[in-house]
Amino acid sequence: MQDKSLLKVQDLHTWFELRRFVFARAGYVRAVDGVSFELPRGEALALVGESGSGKTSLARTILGLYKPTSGDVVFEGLELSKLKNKKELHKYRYDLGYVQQDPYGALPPFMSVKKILMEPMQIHGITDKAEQLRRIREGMEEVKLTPVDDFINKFPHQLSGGQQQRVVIARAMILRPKLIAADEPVSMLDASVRVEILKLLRRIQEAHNLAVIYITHDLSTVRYFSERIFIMYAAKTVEKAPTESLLSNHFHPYTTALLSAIPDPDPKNAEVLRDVPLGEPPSLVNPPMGCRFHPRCAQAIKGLCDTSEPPQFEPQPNHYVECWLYRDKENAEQNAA
Amino acid sequence: MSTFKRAFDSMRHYPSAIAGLIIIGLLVAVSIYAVVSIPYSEAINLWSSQAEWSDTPRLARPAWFNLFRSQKLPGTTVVRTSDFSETVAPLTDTTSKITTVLSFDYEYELFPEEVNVFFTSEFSELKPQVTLTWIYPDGKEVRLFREPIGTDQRFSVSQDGQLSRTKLNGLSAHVGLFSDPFSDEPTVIPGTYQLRIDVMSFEPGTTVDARLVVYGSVHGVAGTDHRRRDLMIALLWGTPIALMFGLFAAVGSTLITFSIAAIGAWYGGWLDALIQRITEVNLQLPVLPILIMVGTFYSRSIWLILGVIIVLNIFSAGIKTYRAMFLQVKNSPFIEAARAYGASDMRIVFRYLIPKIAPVLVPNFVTLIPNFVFLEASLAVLGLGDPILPTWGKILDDAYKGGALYRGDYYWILQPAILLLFTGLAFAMLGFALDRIFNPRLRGV
Amino acid sequence: MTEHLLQLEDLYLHFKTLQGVVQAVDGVNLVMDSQDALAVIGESGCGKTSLIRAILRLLPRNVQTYKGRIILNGVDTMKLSEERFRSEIRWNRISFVAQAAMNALNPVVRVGAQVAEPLMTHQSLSKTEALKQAIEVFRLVGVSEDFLNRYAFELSGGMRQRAIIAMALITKPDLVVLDEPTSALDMLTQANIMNVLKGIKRDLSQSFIFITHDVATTSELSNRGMVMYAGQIVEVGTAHQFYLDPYHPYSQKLMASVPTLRETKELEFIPGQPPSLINPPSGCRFAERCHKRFELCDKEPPMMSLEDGRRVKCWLYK
Repeated sequence: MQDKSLLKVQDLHTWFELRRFVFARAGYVRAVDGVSFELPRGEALALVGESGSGKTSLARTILGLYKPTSGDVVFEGLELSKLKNKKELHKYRYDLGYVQQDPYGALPPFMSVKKILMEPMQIHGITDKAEQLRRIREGMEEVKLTPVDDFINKFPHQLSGGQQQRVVIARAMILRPKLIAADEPVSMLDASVRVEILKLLRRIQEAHNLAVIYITHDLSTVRYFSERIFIMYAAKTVEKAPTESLLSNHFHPYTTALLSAIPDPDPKNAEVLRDVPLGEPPSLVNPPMGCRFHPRCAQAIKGLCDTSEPPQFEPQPNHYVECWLYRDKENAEQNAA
Repeated sequence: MSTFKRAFDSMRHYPSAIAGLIIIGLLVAVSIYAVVSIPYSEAINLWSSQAEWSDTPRLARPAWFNLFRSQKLPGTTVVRTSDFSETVAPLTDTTSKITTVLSFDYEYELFPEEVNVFFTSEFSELKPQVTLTWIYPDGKEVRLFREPIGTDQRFSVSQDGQLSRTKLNGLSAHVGLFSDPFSDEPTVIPGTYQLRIDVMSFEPGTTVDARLVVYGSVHGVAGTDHRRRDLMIALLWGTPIALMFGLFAAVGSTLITFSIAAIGAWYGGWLDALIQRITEVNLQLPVLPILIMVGTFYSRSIWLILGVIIVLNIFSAGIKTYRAMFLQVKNSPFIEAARAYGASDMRIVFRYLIPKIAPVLVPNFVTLIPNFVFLEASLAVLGLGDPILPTWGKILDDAYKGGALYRGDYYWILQPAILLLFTGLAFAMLGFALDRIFNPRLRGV
Repeated sequence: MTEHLLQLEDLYLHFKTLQGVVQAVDGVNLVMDSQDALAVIGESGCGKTSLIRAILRLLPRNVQTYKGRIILNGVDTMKLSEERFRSEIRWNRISFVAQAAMNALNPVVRVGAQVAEPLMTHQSLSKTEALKQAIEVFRLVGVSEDFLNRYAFELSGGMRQRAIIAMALITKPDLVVLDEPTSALDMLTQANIMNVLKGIKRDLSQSFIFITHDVATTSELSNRGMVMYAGQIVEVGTAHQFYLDPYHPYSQKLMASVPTLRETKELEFIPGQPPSLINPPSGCRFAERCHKRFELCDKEPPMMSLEDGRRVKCWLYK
């Protein structure tokens, strides 16, 4: 059977060593701590979590910016941890695009749009001027930075936030990648522009059959963008499900809390207190024993949740949860909020 | 680049920057003029110790001093036999007497500084004999000299003690020959003076040319120094030398420092640590004593000194400052993006990190230029300047050694000093304005 | 007739910059009563932060025009001298929670002392008295009094934000202004903080002005809403009117662009971008992006007062 998966993440751990004084023992920031999934071509996956959940580190590892501490990332058969030299890493990077959160920060302020878009091509050996220009024009038209001649020689500070982000997207697309990691691509843009950019990304994804990892902390946009959602908490994926399935049947208590924390512009909100757990996400250096959410969980099972980490359960087909509440409820609809 | 264009536009708002730019423009114009009007080899020759500056007075004031004086200081008068006709009176078939009368007008109120007569003659064996007779405006004659002369000879009239004792009542020739030496208070007699030159030649074909120089007290735009050299040459040529030295030293050291700081900051680890340690050691080294040692024991050539200065300034405090800036930028999103699309380390350092911080370099290096200009001048004053180049520092050195302040020859010191001052001022003003432009946090100041 | 809590009349604030004069606040008129929680909604560059600066007189050095009337409980604060404003009004009668203020806590002073400081400066309380009140207000925001003696770095992000809110409440001001109080926080912490604010509003009947670009969050707290565009107010109304049935085309598009979880709706966006505040267009400032534009829009519309109490700055409602 042909392996359709573009990307396979296998029990990935990415830990960063903490430098301390010479005598103190160094600890590790366990930014990604046991994540596995597969991503086929053309699918959009939303990675939802708060800051410190590990979602950005996961994306960066997939992009080859961090080296996996253990486990692996396999992209079209290429194993990231086994890449020996710069050349192989180079090849790996060719098929991946990166859209970052800060549109102005992601663009070198001293390069014009044309130069910015030329850079990835220069680096990867596409040096024919005519071909470069052709791709630049195509790319700019695709992100609707038109008329192209108006924008092509502008510098980042001359563009609005939305226009800057379009350049970032165009740059990510210029080598015709197969996967794009978009880390909070619209959270620094104004509300009215966000929708435009999200729609643009969606259109590009569909047109090129791109796999997209869409990272966000804003669950409300997820419905418009992705086929699957992964919820991350404290460096682990606590729930993984197709979008509609998760929104109607959320199993993990954290997911439930997240969903109830999201405001809709409804004036009745002002009259009701939201039911959310207190506390903060745990430190990634010293995560709590057992299930990492248990200190804040109203349904924690004493003796179980505070001693051992839950494995992954599948209470519904294709819907995975790392929570002891579902330990003997495979394929059952229990505790759905 | 757009950053520089923006900078130029903002400069309009800073009058100090504009003033600085104007002065620098003037200095550059002067440099170009100097290089074009006096070619390098000629300048060196004119300033060297072998140079003959016979037609200019010693320690003359600049000519424009006279604008401020009621009693004008006299200028220099030069008269040559070639300007006048000679009368030849043959005596035998080999001997003849050639007479030329040089005449000039002397209308100044003050006495000249010196009087010299220069002879050049051509003959085979027998030296011609020359008689010099001075003729006052009223016709009175005084014989100055009767002697045989060689091919190249100079008669320092003012220093002829015998002449002064016997004929001029003890007064020096440059006073006595222009006044009534026997009056109580000799004053200048204005009028037409003449010098009759009688040449007794003993061979046919003997020629004698003479040149009378009556030295005044002023010369040229800048005056002269103790070796009669026109200071303008050194002042003019000093400009491009100062600018070039400052520029090369500033550019050379800054660019290299910058690149090393970037590389260290980006790669981190042992390379960064090594660079920091080298810098810390280098900061302790005393630059001036080292330069003095190099100059004294090895060579004072300006290129060598420049090289040593650049090398010593590479691992300077700038490394630490720039490294801090690079470390900040290292984690920027656009650097991360560049890594993500596969940029190599070197590419990131030179095409991303450096251009991002480069604008900061500009004000730093503009303010650095006068430091090096002064350094060169200081070395010269210490006697370690380049031995052949005419620089401002060299003038100061000569002036100091010649006791200029003690003798009241203030122009000798002030002219190069003021030029140094203006150079420093111009670059400093421009540099501070640029600093405010490129460093937005200072903008409100 | 009861006195309004806050009245802004023809408020102008213009800044001088190298590029020209930024007309950040351009003729703002507003009325707010006590116990109101007013949401000020607008995107970046609409002038909402400048509005706050104008009210609190936190002005930068390049101000060109600053005029109008700011009447707080009957007193025109614009007429007060700088010294009187500082001691009597700022942080005493109007306090302020800045954006990412939790990062503005002094790292070398204990949290309790910082929170108590406004009382010591503005109301000349002794340190012990002030600290006693600090304990009270900590209880209100849900922070245990043990934290009074801790330093800022020992508190988590959410707790620091609560401490800042405590600092803003301790002088029992007439009005608390919050500038994006939750945008730097996680979703759950945001919800927690909003719960705290809701509790305070209910228990203390505290008045708030709440500035944000995040439309959805504002609905948590406000009973009245106001939209700013290009330095001007374009719509004011009660929360119900405003969130469920906005009138101004900009407000409508804004509401339509907010993604919601509870219902699927087609998201809309507004093409183009807001005009520069340096040379705002004549006529209605939203006209060039407006989907309902017509001929009258070439002239600047006045603020229309409608019968249901709304005010809209749009010719459609003549």
